Amino acid sequence: MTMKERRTIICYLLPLAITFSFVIIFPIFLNIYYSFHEKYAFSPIIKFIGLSNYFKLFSNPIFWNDVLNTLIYTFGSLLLQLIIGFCVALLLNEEFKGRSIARTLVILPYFISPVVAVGIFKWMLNELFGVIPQLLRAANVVHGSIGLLSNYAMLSLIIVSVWMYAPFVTICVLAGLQTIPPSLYEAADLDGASAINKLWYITLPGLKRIIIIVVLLRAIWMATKFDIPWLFLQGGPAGATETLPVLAYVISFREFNFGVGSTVATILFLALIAFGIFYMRYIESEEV
Amino acid sequence: MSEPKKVDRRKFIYAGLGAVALIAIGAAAYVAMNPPVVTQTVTTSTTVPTTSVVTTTVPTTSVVTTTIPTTSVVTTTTTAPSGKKVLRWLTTETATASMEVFKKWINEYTTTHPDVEIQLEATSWDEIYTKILSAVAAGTGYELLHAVNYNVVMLAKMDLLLPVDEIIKLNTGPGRTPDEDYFPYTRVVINGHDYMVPYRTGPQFIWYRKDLFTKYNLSIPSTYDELLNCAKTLNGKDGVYGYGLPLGRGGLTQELFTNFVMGNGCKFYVDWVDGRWDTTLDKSPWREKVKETLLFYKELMKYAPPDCGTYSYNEVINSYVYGKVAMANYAGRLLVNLENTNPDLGSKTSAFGFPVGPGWKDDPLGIIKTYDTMGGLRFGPQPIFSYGWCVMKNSKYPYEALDFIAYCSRHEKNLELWNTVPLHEMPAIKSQREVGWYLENPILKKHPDVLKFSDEYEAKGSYTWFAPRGPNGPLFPAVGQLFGTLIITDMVQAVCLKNTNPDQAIDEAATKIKELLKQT
Repeated sequence: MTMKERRTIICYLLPLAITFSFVIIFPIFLNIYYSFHEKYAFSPIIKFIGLSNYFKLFSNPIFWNDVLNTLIYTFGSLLLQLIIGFCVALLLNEEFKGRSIARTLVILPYFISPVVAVGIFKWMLNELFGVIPQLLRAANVVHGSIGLLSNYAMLSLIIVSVWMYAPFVTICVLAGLQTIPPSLYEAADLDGASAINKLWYITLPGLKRIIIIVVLLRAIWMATKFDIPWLFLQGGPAGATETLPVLAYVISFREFNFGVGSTVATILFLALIAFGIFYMRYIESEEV
Repeated sequence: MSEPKKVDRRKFIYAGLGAVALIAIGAAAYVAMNPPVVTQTVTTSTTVPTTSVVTTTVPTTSVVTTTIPTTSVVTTTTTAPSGKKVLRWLTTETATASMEVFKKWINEYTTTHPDVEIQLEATSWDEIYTKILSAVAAGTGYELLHAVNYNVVMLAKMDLLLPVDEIIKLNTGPGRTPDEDYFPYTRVVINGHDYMVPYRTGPQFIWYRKDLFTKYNLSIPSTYDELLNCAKTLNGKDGVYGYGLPLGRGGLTQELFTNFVMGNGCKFYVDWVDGRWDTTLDKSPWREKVKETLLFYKELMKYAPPDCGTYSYNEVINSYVYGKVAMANYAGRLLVNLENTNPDLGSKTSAFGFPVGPGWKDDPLGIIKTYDTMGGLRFGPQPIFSYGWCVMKNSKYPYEALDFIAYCSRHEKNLELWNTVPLHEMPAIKSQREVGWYLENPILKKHPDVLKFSDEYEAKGSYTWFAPRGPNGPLFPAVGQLFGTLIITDMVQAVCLKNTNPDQAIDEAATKIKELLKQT
């Protein structure tokens, strides 16, 4: 590449870079900056306090509770999204009448506003009025009160998230399935391979790259998800569904403590970067 | 010797275009941060209120100088940018009927004021304080704000609001002063100036099933133990739970808990001690009273629906309206929802006040002791929330907003609003109550017992969260902040749902309140 070509490219990328800097990079660094300071939302005073915010958080059992909740929520919903999304994609890849309608209906949850979806699920899971507890009792699966929103709050939250975001996995996997040459399956049929063998030796390797990216993206997106946990139960009851993004919000915008709130956000940010780096390195090493 | 490099014309043009794009973006950013102000002579009929010193008598509010960190407030100029004047209006009156009334007012006003555009924005009670202060921090204050009295104190002390003295005088009944005509605690007066135009106040109750109480020979409870007994007796009978207890991470949990705590003769979490605000939560005798109330709340939870740990306003209302609980607390909106949805049940519903706890005799505000003739019962104090119009100083068109407020706060306009949620919305002005227009509402006519109780309850003794020492004491400005946090809710949830030791929960809450008070 010549110098002139490089300069041309830079000229084109510069506006994007500047915008990206203001909208993404600057807030990240401001966040990290605040995490080393005592900063309240509506006070102009900023006082450097070193690592005090970090020590305060690490010594707070609520923080560790929320770390655990974040891990459970992220990987619990990720696992179910992958399994369900993958299975649905395999089904939708088969030829059957009404396939195009089925494909549209299946991905519809992904396009529903989180506010609407959460509102609907809250009422569906409500002990007094909800259709799901009524059905479970009618089917004799449970007897008496269940308390889906209280005793099984995290599970309910995961179910809502899976319902909403499994279609994303379905779309990605479905797209990936189209890139696998049908001749491979034909050859496998000729060799007498079973469905499991075809899945294991043809489908999964063919989808490997897609699955790697989907896992990375969904893990990051679920770990940083704020809207659904907050809308659902505001992180309750009693912190049962409070994740780190919710904690950052509560501390920053309810307790007006930007210093500590920024610390939570910074810790989550660094954890996700570390996850991304180690994940990609592991994948690369596996391929080697 | 190498050939000199030739400049590629196409690449040169592309590079130039890239540079132009960069400059254009920079220019756009500059303009966005420094919008041009066109100075023009504007002839307006708006009466610019003059600030006048109003001598207040009862209730007097002694102003204590507190160091409140000031935010940067954009100085509003009286020159208007060219084009329509857009007034942004933030409200928490989100009932469909109320929003329809607001839209009607907007249509009427903008028809006669074509140079004005009003943008209505709704938010929830749990989020409003955060939203207001975010607007302040962003330098984009709302011209029109519906706020509750306890939020207004802080905003006024931070010098974020315009005084509204003239509109207060305008709405006062003939031959009376504002002090005489407005109900206690409905106004927010700082340094002799009003900062909110109250348009309504609304009592709070515990709603109950008269039919079930009669069936099971229960009397109206007025103490913790009596309430527990009623809840226990009714729990599981006739398909109901005993009490629709709010225990979710929302505003209603801390409202009810605070009402119960005050009925136990407690202070409102803070007090003015040695020249500063400090929490009373972890100090005797208040600590013991809060602990008693926490344990009472936990006991009451046994007779509540299993999901009560997620209950806030909507869930409590619906649990009562659809006949799933025998008792539930809320303001008049519950009755309105009930009459609109399940009028048969409405006929079987009445209300009583908040019970007193074993510690009521301490009664630091001296209110509970006055309840001698409420049918022979003594209830905990009635919290007064008044709601009103405010204008933020850093908004673009504050004086145009005042004109709109003057238009909307007329009696006949308020009546349109009160009728959307009767009893939940009541006149804040005595002379307007005396006229009695609001009494023509069919729901109020159907429940004269509740109305009578409400009037007596309000008259006997009410208090407000921002005056922890009563009407002559200093005003606590950070109520909005305190209730914008989840400190009290989390304390209650910790004890009731996580079985945390009450002392530990109280200590944690006290630590957080102290942290919050550092900001005020």
